Amino acid sequence: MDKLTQIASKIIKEQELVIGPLAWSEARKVQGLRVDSQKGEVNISNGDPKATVDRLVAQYERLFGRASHQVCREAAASLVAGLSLAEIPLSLRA
Amino acid sequence: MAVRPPSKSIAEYQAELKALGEEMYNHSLELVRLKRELEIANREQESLLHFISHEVKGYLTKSEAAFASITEGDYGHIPEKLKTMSWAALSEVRKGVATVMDILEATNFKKGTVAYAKKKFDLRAAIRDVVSQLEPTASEKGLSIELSIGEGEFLFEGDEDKLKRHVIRNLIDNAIKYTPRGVVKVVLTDGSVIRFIVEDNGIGITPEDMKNLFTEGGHGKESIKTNVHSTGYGLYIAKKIIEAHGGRIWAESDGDGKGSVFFVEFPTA
Repeated sequence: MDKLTQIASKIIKEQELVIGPLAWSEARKVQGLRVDSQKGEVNISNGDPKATVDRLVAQYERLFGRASHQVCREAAASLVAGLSLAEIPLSLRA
Repeated sequence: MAVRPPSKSIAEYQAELKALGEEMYNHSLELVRLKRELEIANREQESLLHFISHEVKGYLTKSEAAFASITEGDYGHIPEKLKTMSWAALSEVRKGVATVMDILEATNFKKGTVAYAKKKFDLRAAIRDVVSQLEPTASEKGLSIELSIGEGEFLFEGDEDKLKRHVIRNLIDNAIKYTPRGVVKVVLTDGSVIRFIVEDNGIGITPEDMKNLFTEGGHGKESIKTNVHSTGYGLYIAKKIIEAHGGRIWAESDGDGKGSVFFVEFPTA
C-alpha cells in the first residue's frame, strides 16, 4: 500500500473513532476513493492521489469544521514525516 | 389556517446545522481524548500497583521465611511464649502474602498476562484436599462442612492450581468467613454440565451487593463489616479463571442474613 493510501486509511480510521460509521460513509462520497467499511479497506483509484486525500480532508471539514481538519493532520503526522514537501497533500502541510 | 413563512432563510438553517454538526464533533472528540488519557492513566496505575505489590510481596516473603524458621526450631529451642507469638506472626504474614498475591493476580488479569497450565486432574480429590485444609478453621468457629461430591475419580481438564486456590478454596473460605454458625455445604454434580456448589446459611447478600459481587474490588457493604481484610478481588479472579475454562459463576441469596449459594458450572468435555 503506497503512502498516500495509508494516509487516507489512517484518516478514515481516526475519524471513525470520533464519529463512528459516518466516517466511512462520508469517505465513500469522495471522488477517487474506494472504501470497504466491512473489511476496513481503502484504495485510491487512478488520478491524483494527493488531490484525493485533500478531498477527503475537505469532506470531513465541510461537515465538522476545523477540529476535524486538525484530527486529519494528527492522524497523518507520522506518515507525512517520511514524505518530501512536494509529496504532501496541501491540506496536510504544516 | 395560515401557514407562517419561515423566520430564517435556507442558508441560515444550513449554517445552524453546520454549527451543530461541529459542536457535536467537538464533544465527541473531547470524549475520545479523555478516553485515551484515562487508558494511559489506567495503564500507569496498573503498572505502579503491580510494582508496589511485587515489592511488598518480596518483603513479606522474607518475613514469612524468618518466622517459619523461628517456629520450626531452626534457631534451636525457643520459649513457648515466643513460639506462640511466632506462629501468630507467621499466620498474619501468610495472610498478607495471600492478599498481595490476589492483587498481583488481578493486575495480571487486567494486563492479560495470565497463563494457564491445563491438564487432567481429579476434581473430587482437589475439593477434598481444600476441605481438609479448611476444616480446622471451620471447626474453630463451630461450623461444620458437609461434603456431597460422590466417590471415585472425577477427571477434569484445567489449571488445577488456579482452580483450587482461586475458585474452590476461595468459595469455601468465603462461606466459612461469612457464616457465624451452622453448616457449609459443598456439592459437586455432573450430567450435561459439571456443577460445583457452595451453600451457607451465613450473612447473605443484599440485592445491592449482588450487583458488584464479581467486579474488580467489588466489596459488599455488609460483607466488609464481617471481613475487614477483604481485598474485593477474590470473586473477580475466580470469575476470570472460571470463564477461561469455559464456565460461569453466579450467586443466589434471599438477602441480608439469609445465606448464600454460589454456583460454578463447567461444560462437560
